[in-house]
Amino acid sequence: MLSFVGRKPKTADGEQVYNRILAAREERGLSRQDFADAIGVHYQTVGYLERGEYSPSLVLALRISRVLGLTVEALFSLDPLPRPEPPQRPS
Amino acid sequence: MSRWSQIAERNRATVAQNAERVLADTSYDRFRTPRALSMLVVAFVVTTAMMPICWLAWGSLAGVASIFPCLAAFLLMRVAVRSQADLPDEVLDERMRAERDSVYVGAFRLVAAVVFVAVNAAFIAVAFRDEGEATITFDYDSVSAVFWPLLALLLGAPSLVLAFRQVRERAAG
Repeated sequence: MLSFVGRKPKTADGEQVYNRILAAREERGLSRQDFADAIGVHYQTVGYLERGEYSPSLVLALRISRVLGLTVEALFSLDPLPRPEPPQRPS
Repeated sequence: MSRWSQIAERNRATVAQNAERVLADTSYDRFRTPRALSMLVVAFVVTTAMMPICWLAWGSLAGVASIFPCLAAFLLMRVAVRSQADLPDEVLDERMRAERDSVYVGAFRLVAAVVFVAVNAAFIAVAFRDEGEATITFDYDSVSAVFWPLLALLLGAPSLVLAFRQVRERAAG
């Protein structure tokens, strides 16, 4: 599933891979550098992952899911992922 | 551990340390903008193309002088792409490895295309020559006119392709 960098990542069938890495990272208050260190990649690669310009290998996807505490299915999808709901204001 | 293993281990550690520094370096970010990268790509192509002209048209002194602008363009371009094309597997993450490998395919195609065009241009020039038979002069200037541009192309092609792709990618948004 590795794609050429700079092109939208697609599967062998030409499908786009969507992810919610950015939202999950921000929810946990992790900086891009901290997150990059935790999953063992360069900080620029985190940007590529978050923008959906690079689809990670299975190993990296599993590492990301472990660091963010979510399942791979919750993080990556072949269908567009719904935007996370904004936090509720206390009434 | 044998002496050679120790040397190899020390070498690996030094490469890893330098690579870490180069990959995190931000002091050359002014050369990493799309505009600066485009200018470096153009500068490298122009200075490489100028080398055979300098060697053949103006002689050894101009030829030697033509190496330095090309070397400067090559080094700046290499710094601008963080030497990613030249770093070993151990210090790159999977995206960078994939990018580097893909860049080498592009670099091979570029070198093959340039050599193909140059050789065919030489054949055509010889075939359509008006005055008698063409002769190949095997002297210092002629050999240098082939050697230096070819060396520049072989060493610079991976960084050139990487820089070009980064420009295209950033222009695409």
